[in-house]
Amino acid sequence: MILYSANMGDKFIPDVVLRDNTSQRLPCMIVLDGSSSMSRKPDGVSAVSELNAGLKVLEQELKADDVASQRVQLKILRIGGSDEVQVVTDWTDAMDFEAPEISAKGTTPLGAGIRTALEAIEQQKENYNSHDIPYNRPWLFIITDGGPTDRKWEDTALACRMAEAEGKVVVFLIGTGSANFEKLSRFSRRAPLRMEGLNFNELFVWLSCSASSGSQTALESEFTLPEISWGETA
Amino acid sequence: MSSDTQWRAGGISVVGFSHIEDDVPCQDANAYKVRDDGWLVAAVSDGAGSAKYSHIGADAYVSAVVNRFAEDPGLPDQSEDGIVSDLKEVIDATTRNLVDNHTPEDEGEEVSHSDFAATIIVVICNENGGAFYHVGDGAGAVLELGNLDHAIVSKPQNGEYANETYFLTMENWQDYFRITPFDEPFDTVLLMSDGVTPMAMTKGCEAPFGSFVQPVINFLKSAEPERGQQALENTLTREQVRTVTGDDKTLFWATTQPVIEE
Repeated sequence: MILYSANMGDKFIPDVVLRDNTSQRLPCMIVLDGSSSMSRKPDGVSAVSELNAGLKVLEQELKADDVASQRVQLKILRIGGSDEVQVVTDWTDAMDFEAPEISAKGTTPLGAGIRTALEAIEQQKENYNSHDIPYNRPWLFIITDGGPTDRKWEDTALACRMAEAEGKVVVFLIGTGSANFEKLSRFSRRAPLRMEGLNFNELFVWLSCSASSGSQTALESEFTLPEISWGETA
Repeated sequence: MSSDTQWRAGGISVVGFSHIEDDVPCQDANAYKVRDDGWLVAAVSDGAGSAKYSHIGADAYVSAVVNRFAEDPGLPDQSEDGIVSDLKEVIDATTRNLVDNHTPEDEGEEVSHSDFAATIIVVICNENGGAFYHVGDGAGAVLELGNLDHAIVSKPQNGEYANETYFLTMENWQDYFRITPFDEPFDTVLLMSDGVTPMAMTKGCEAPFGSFVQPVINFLKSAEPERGQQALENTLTREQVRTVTGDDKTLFWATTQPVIEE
């Protein structure tokens, strides 16, 4: 047996492998409004340009956060066109994430977008389970300056509320000032959040920080996240 | 192994990187007692990140549990049911005391049980065996350092999601109380919080991870206690751990291997 004495001078325990054996993941789905109204410039600046700048901040913040860069997996959907849902970023580890450029043209098929998002989240859980990868409760962020324009959005709103009530996902509905908060509130038990101005940068910094927060009680009703500084309950 | 086997034991709780940055106190705690009759009582608790006073809760629970069994002359003759009953009693009493005796930081502040939310893993054993008593995440393991394949593990309980677990302050916490008895030969006992399990345990917490546990325990059982403790703290807080977790980290260890004197 090797004996270590006080004068050996080594500060750390030698030969220890320090690595994460869990590969824990936090799936984070973001549904972004790419409708025409996002390109309007009521105050000289469009929501979509601020959103795109914010996505670049998200990329930087995630990559700069040691835990988030390893843990977060992102998928980003754009809604727009003629009631279309477009995958702009498929499931990607945060460390490999490159901010997409969202274009603003078309309608706001929030119902179809959220339906696609909920399905993709459950598929990803199956993927994790088949590889024995532990995962946090998935996050679903929905960011819009309007309200749903597709026909069956109310069915999806109900399905989204149910998914949330069953603990399948944590839903965040975020609207800029012009959003239809009454309609947005139908998608979640949690009230939608009204963004202060077009503060996408701060929103995405918060998202990245929240990804590293500690253990929570396994009771959905008590789920909490760090304090929000970029908006308020609508 | 004889009844006068010498235990070597130590425990450390270090604040996580993210808590340092956010100016949050260490929400982990540990306590232990090696009794004169060769029984070991140890506890590790992890306060919930979302609870305001969980650092106070974690500290209170480990102290209360260890104090309860530290001197009790009846422990060697106590049945498992008796130990379980005493544990549940002391935990409930601690929860009540936490709420009743808390001095609010702000005037008019009201505190509730959930403000002190914390997990716990306890080991009560002698050299022939004993049991883990566990609510929530973190892990316990008894093992032979030279043969980790046969380790007995008390795994974390998270439900579906890895970042959600069960706390002693939940109304139905006793539904999540788990017991893992052991009577196989062993030379090492470990308790750890969920800041250490990703490094010290294999995927799924199935077994101790040899490339962490063996060098750490071999060092600790040979080093002078203060030096071992300091090196463990340095190791758990070194820069490369930052990419594993920002959470607080607690490791309690005890070994029955005799210390070789030169």
